[in-house]
Amino acid sequence: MVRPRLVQVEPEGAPLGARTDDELMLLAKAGARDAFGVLARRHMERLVRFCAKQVGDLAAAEEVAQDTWAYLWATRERYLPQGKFLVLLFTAARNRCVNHHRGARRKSSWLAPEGDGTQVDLHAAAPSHLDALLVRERQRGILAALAKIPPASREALLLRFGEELSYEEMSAVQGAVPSTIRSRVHHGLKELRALLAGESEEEP
Amino acid sequence: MTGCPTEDELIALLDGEATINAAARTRAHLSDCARCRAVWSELEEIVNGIRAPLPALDVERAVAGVMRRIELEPRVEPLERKRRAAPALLAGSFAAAAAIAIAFSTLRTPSPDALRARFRDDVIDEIPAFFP
Repeated sequence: MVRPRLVQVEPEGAPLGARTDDELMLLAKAGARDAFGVLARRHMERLVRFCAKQVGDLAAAEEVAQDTWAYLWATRERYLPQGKFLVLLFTAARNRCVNHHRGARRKSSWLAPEGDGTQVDLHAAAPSHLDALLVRERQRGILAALAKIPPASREALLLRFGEELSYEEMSAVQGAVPSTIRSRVHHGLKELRALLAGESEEEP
Repeated sequence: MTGCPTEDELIALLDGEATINAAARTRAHLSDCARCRAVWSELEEIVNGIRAPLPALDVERAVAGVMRRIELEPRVEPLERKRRAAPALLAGSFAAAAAIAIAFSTLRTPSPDALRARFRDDVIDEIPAFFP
């Protein structure tokens, strides 16, 4: 069996880490797996973060992220370098998150870090530790509320504030005009605020 | 305080989408209005919550998983395919060219009488095949 030829990336010029996303995808298109690895390493954390806040589970988010990268690799021949790699990445991830929702009921508890199980002596704890606990608890509440709002609004909020995409980029990812996406962001924030206000009123 | 900005105007400021004038107006209002400052703080806290980092992710492990997956995919190398196809293509081309050349030369071969007329006897003796 004839082994396919591996494309060697020459060390001359800019190193892989300094290449743009488009350049790395073009190298991947030519068969350079190490270039694809650099691309995956560059965006893995934000991709998993986006997926985790969408599907509500870190392990599931990692699987969705891996599916996304595998898809990008399989379709690399069709990639057109237009400086819009992030749009492609988040569109592919978003579609996989939607599929995940169809296949598995969303976990309402989110990946909420509810502590590591150790008891904290609140009287003896340092003020900074208490502040950190409070911040974490508030964040847990916000992320739990995020799970309750419509998926389109949640997605828009995650892309806008979590991943800092422009409205034009979000428009391409979500397949809607920018004014609709803006409206989703505004509605989403208002819903979250209302939900959190309702929860704080319920607390004794 | 009267003339409070709407929630949408506060969100536009937080989102960086407010015009310069609107942003200046809202900021000036926020410095004077405790009620709006409270709403602003709530919105800011929500956005910070959305931005909250995840529990530590082992990026290297996640990337290794991706690389393992793409290793399993059968590689498709269009360049290699072209190279494998090249010898057959070249052989075919040569065969076609040879056939055309033979046909052309046969058609263009002058008759022995014509050759005899064109060449001296000693030259004709060197190509006996044409002069049985």
